[in-house]
Amino acid sequence: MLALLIVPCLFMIILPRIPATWLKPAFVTMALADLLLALGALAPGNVIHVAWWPQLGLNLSLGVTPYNQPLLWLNALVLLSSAWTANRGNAWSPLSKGSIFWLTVAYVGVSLAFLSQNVLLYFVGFEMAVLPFFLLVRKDGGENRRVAAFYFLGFSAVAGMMLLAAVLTLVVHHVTGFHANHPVSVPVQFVVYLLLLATWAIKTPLWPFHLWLPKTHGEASTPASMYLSGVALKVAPYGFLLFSGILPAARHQASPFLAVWGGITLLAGSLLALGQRDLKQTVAQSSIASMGYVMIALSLGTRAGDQAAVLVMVGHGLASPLLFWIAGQVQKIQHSRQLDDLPGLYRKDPLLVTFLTAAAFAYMGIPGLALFPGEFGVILVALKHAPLTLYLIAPAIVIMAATWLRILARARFGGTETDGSFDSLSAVRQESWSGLWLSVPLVLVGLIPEWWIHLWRWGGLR
Amino acid sequence: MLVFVIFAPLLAGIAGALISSRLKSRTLSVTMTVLSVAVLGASMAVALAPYLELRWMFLHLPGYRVPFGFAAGTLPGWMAMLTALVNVLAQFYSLGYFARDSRQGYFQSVLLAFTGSMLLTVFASNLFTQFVGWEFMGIGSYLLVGYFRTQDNARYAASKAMLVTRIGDVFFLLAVIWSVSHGQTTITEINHHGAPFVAWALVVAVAAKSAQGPNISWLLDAMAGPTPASALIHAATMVAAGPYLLIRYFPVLSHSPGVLPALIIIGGATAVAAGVGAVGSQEAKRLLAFSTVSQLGMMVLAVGLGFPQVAWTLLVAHAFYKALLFFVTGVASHRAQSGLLSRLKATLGGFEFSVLFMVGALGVSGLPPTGGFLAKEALFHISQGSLFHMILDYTLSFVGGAYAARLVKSLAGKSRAPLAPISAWMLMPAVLLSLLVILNFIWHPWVTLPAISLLSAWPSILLVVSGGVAGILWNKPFRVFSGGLFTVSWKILYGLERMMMTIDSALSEGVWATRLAAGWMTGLVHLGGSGRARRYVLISGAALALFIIWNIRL
Amino acid sequence: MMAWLALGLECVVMMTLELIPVKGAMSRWILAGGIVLLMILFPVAGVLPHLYERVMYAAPVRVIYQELVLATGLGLTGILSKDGSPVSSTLLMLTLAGGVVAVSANSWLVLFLGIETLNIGLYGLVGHTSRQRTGDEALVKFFILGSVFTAFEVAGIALIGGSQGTLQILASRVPNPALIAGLCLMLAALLFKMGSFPFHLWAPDTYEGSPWQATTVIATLPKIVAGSVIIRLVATGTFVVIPHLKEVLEIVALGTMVIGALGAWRQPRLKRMLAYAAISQVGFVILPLSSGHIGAAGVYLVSYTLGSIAVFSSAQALAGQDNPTRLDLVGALATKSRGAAVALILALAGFAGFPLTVGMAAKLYSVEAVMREPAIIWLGAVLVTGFTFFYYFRWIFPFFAAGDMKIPKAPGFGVLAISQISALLIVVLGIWSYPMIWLTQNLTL
Repeated sequence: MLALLIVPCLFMIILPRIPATWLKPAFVTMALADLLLALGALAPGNVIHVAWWPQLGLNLSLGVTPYNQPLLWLNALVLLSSAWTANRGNAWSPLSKGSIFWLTVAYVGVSLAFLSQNVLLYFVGFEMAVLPFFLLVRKDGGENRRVAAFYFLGFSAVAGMMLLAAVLTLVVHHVTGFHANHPVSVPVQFVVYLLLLATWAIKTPLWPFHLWLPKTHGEASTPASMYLSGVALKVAPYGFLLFSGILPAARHQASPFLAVWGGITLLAGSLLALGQRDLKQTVAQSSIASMGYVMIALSLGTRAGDQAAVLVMVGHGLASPLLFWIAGQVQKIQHSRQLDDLPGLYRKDPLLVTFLTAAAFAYMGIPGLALFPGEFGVILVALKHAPLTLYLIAPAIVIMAATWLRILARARFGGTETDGSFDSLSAVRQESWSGLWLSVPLVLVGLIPEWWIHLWRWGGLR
Repeated sequence: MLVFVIFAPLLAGIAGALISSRLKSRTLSVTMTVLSVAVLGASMAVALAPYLELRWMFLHLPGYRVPFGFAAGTLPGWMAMLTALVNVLAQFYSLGYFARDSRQGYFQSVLLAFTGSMLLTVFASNLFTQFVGWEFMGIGSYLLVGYFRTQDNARYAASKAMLVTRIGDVFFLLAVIWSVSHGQTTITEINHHGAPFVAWALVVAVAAKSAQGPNISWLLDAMAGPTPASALIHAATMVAAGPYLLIRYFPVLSHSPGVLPALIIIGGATAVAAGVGAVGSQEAKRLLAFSTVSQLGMMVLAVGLGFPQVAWTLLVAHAFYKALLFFVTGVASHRAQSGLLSRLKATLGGFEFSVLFMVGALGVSGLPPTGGFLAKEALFHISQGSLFHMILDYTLSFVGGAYAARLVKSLAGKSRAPLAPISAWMLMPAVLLSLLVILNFIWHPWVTLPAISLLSAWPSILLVVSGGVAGILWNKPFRVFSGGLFTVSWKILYGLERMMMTIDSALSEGVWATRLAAGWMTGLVHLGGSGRARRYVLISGAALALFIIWNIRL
Repeated sequence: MMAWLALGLECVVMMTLELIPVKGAMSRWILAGGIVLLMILFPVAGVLPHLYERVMYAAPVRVIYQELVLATGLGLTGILSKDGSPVSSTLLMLTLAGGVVAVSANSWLVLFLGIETLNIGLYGLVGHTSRQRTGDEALVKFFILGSVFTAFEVAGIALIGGSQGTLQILASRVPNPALIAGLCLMLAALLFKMGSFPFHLWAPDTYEGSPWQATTVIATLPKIVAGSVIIRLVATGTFVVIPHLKEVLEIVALGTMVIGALGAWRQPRLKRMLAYAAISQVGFVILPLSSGHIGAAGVYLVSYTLGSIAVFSSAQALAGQDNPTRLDLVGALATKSRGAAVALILALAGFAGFPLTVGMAAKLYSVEAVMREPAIIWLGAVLVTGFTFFYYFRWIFPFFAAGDMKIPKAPGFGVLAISQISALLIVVLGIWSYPMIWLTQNLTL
């Protein structure tokens, strides 16, 4: 488990010495090594506890639980696919030591947050991902990246500090772990919960605190976007899951309100996604909608809800990086991501359109693709505990379908049969195979969720 | 065997569609055709075999079990056979229809996968599994309708088909969710304990998928797809899955108050309206689509009247003659290179017209000696006793005769020039189907119908004939269902989305205002920090004085 | 006793070296050697005879402060530029001697003496290194403000002495207006030395005008000394008679943070940004003092010292005598002084409280100390922390942007070494927690 963190750290140390031509292979190898480690060496129940800053309440206690195991797998996988995407000499998918370094730092931070069994350590991991993404967004990407980075940093800073305040309040009341053995008094719970809510609302994000997400994604480079939406976005909901365990009273009180808020986010995200004229923005807004599902599930406070939320996170963690990668490829092919420039895309890169179709169907919630089991679970739980949200979920599903059909209607159609050859695109088309990194798991998780659940040992939880 | 029937077409179809660009198209299409035949054989074997069941867990969350389940029985067996048969014929037909198309293999793969998803729904033993097949069918129809990718109407039609059925799917999903959360994981359990909510949700789902009520327009637009796909969609999959579902869930529908009358209203109104629409249409395929909707309405009506067996009879009969009509009309439009009724005159040869086409036309209008006649008579039979239902039936007969006659009138005629030869692959299915339509007159799978004498059927025959005369005389095209509802809904959605975007930009302004405020404060600080030493001393001294006074006073 | 003698002797030696022509580098090495010797001597031979207890602090904790000041001085030795004359070494030694005396004073008069010695050294340094008009302006502002506060000190000592009857630093508990006024004056003078709100006004101008060496000294040594003294005085309860001490400290801490953070945001020039950033940092030293949390303040003081030495030395290494804008720093990672650039990044990250730096631990300590106070205090503190990200990250960014930068002049060995060592320490102390934990435990004894 520690190796999972040590390997990227070692990589960062030797990074300045790696010659430029070996940069990508080295990065990919590191990500692959970590993926193999995550797949092979993690088992629920592994725990490490080392005293670090005991006076602060900050200790290095890491543990693998059935809930963070899938997220850790996802983390390594998405890093691998982002690493695979990075290429030299393209502003949208840059391959420089700086980018790789900061992506790795973010990876370590996110892994730390997922693994942490200590409230302050979670904060440390959470905070570690802020600076890297700020720099990644600020450094490479579109024209308005300054504003985008400003938004990202501003929202993240507020969220991070609310989290800090919450965490420190907990520590002052002698709660440092995520075990509900000694819950703090109810008023304190409410204070902490309120602070945390601000954090999650911004970082998850929930409407109307979502502004930074589309702005950031619209301008960020492809690998950064992939990693940010694939994994870094899951840190906040995972934190919600973690922290809710030690704040039972507050969670119980806030449950109905939060469920509705999640539903509103879902609906708002879908509507906003429908309104975009840019492929990448659409993906970003759809992510907000997916996070709405997660929030509904988490707000209910049942085991089934938590598991459904993790399933949605995993599904979304596979589908959204795939779509961001596709958006990056589209940018390369059409030199634009506007929806109006999409027609005829299928002719230029059929494989890419196949992946786009699969990912779009996943977002629409088609069975057999990774988002379906989770969303199904969420609606299942919502029916029993928060039936009101169904009124928000049902239209959102249709709107989501409309959003993606609108894109597919452009990407899969149009053009003329006699369009010229596209030899100049052969390099880009060759790259399209890398969509398999994410689409194969996308299908596997969607087809046999039960098998994965068995692997993650959700059956014997608590 | 069951596993093969359910999964072989689905998996092979998907695999074929995915690798179609790397394979020789003809090889793939022949493979798919052979596989289709194998599936037909296997489905026959399944129908003959004793009861088979298949069940495994798809998803297991604490407190909820979501199993996959399949069971073969009499009704599923017959339905599967029907689906597989129409699929085989459609595959044969496409061998000829797409002979020179480079994407033939892709098309036939998708066709097979589409059939596979129908088989999934057919054999499913619980609502969840049916939902999965139902969704796959949606995707399949999307791909099939949108086959001609350079055509704008195909693009529009495919998206619309998917979107409209998606609305129904949401209700289906809700029904599934309800049943799963109440632990009802088989059809029997739902039929015994299902809540009215499930019944109503299913009705909405079926109405969307089978183009009932206000959802007609997607099926009309879906005619943008290739003929074999239309034949398959209309005859034995997708839209036919709706009535099939109603038949399977008839007990729960009949338990739930208000559902059956609602079905009568939906089915009856749709049937009449669509029939009228068929009379006014100018395109052959549009006419056929209207007629399909009308016939589906009659099936829904039959279920609503409380006789799922009659609906089933109609379903089987309709599958045969509608597929037949599509195939034959397809030949005609193939020759004419157009689907307009006015261009189709004299495009069929003598045998094609007199034997194949006329059999289909008789079937669709409900005249002997076809299965259509029997099914319609059965409908009359069960409507007896209620004046309203009888009037409904008579109207339907009249309208049916009218549009059938209109179709016949447009196609009739002898061509002066020799007709273009047509591939045997395209004729053979039609021949087979016309035989089946006739056979259906004396043989009905699964159900025993009440004895119907030809003599007592004179009112309906008379009405059909008079309708036929009216149809021949009527020449003025008119439009029913322009799809305006869809456009309006889209506009509303668009308005909502604009609203959200406006809120978003207002929020952005808010963030910017906060930033400006911070910038202003920063300016203030900067101003304070750049001045003369005198000012610094003054400010510091004043602060110090305040500090001391505050502390000494208290 | 030995240590004190050595301290005096070192000053004399440094002054003597001015008379015989000796190279600047040589004098710096001698200075460094002397400081190392002092650092060894103070723990082992820093005990004064019983007689001196009235004027010199005898508690063992004083050694920590002395070592802190001396270590800072050692770090500063490397900062003095290559071409600097021996005069600057002498001035630094004077400053250092004043600082050591101030932190170990047990009498207000000795404290005054120490601070004034320190001041004289600082004035000298700023004036000696000034090459431009802005430098002179900086000196004048610094001097005028400094003199005013010296006057306040004198007044304060007089009031305290008068009301107490002795000049010893005592934890008096009799609320006497004269005593309170005197203590307030002393506190204000110390806060001025730390450059905290509302006495911060001189800092940006002075920082910006002075050359990097002088800036570094101003930004570190007086703040360490004043900070140590305040911490010690709060710990021994000297200020308890001030009725609103808690509120005052809270207002001062928050005000310092907010003003510093706002001022540092959107500053076009590095030095001015750092000046405001340093102001903001000081707020976090004062913050835990308001709730009497000595250890947290001590940790933050150490972290601040390390950070500012690293920041200023690496900035000096990168900028030479210039005051760069962000654009000037673009591409610094690709130049020869890559090491300095990395050090600056680490130091800024440490200031911002990035995880795995000592800055993070220090910030956590500092904020955690006031978590039981009203929400506005800690919420304000954490929000300011969030706000500081804006300017720190904004300045970290240019290093990663593409571009080519010209280094004005190859940085001196000392500057480079100090920047590297302090940056390394920022990370090492951020990961290896033992020293800081030891510090918090021993400061509160």
